[in-house]
Amino acid sequence: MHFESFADFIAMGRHGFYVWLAYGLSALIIIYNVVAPLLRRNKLIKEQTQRLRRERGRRPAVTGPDQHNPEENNAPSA
Amino acid sequence: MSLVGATVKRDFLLAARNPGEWLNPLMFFLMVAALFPLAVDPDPKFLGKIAGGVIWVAALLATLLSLDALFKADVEDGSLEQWLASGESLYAMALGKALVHWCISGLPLTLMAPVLGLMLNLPQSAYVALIASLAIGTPVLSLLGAVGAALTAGVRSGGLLLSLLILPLYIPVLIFAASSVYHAGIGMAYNGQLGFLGAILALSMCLTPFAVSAALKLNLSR
Amino acid sequence: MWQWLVRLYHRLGSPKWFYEITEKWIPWLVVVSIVGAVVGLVWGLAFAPADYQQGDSFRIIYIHVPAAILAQSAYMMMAIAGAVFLIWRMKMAAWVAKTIAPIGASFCLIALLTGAIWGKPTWGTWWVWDARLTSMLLLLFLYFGVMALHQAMESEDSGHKASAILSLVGLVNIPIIKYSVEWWNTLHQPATLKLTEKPSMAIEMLIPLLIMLVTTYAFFALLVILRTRNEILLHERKRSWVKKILES
Repeated sequence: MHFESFADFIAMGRHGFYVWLAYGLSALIIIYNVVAPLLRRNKLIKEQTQRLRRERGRRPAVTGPDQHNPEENNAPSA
Repeated sequence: MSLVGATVKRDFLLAARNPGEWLNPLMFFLMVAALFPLAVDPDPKFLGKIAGGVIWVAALLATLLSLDALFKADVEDGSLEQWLASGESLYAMALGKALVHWCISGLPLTLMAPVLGLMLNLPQSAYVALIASLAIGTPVLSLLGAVGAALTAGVRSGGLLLSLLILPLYIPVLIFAASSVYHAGIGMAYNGQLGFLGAILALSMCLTPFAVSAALKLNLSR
Repeated sequence: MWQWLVRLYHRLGSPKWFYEITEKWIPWLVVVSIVGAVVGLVWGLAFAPADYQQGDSFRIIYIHVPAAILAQSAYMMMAIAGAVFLIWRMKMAAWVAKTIAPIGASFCLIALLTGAIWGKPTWGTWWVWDARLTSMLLLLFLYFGVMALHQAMESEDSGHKASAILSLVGLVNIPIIKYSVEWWNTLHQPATLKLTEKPSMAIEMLIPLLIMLVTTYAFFALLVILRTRNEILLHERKRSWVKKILES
């Protein structure tokens, strides 16, 4: 261990403010990049399951091969 | 006459009949250069040091102004479809359009630059470098600008987006050109900078028309 | 080996296959990212010896350098994915290119912020027009341009094509920009900025850096996969295999 004590570690030899500021900001940006896609995934899944439920409810007798005609392309995305 | 030739001729005619198209950027150029002494310090020694850079930044901004309209009219009135239907090379068309643009923006800027040099107390020894760097650099601005203009031709108020897209690409030109003027001003050699500008020009002439023609085709499938 | 790579490339072009295989990769990438980050950062922050000139502020390197390297290679990957899309019309390539942009921009931003913060104790000012920081700033502008173009185009397909063209133009320009900025910087560098980082680095300082680099790449892959899976879910939502997933 390079530092004598934990207090020394936090202090980073006078540069503690800069080191922790740098890592703190980086952590925020990284956390955003992890959370944003996960939130979007949940939102997408929720929207699609709701849509599926609506369609099932409206047309209970649907049988046969599934279409895969894509809708209009302008779906919003982050 | 080939379609490219006809388009070039038509664009020149349009510019001749619509003097605002090439006069306005020129006036803008002049006014931006005048802003600096007003905003900072009219001391001739100070101005002389920054003159080259200021003139070049002003030239950049004036060029950006005139780029927005480069392909917009052609996209809207259907000329673009005609170009594609004609089977003629879009590569040549891109070069032609960039040439016209340079003639109505870069060339006048280059010719008027000595006047700005006088206003900003550019050192005597730097005038040649100023004109040379503008003569070589402004065609690059037109070529790269054509890429941006083609990409944003279909976008509403794409002018600002256009500027954002190509300003980073303009930086090397700015660096070498302003450096050549500065070094000439302090009596040092500036061939290297001009050489790099020439290399960038050659590269742009060869490669940018590919990007322009690909981007133009985009605007059809909307 | 080569055949396997070619087959992998083709398979990755199928959204369904990509979604299914990445399902298995994600846990591994998470493990590598977390373990690597813990090991690399603990080693780098607590155990590596302090730099002779800079003291302990140099420890910012362990996030700054990997982020900077990644910002640059991410741009390259984005441009290549764009090229694949333009040439072969592989929609997976378009989606990957689109998702890389904000991630690459984030790493670029991290590199800029940590670089500036590192600069303050080292050079005395928050921002300094040093060659590397200036090039990073321009790279950030290039990223913003690609992202802005995606948003501005009316149809999503035009957006993919336009951004692909722009990122390729940017790719050709990046070496030119970097060279011109470094050249400019050698002319204008004030005498105090004599710092050329790590021409030779002690091995105890280097290893955590390498660990962080590998970790950052793994983490980048994880982020790209997460975002691309969302694009897949969105665009393939009408397909039966997606519907099965949604129902489970």
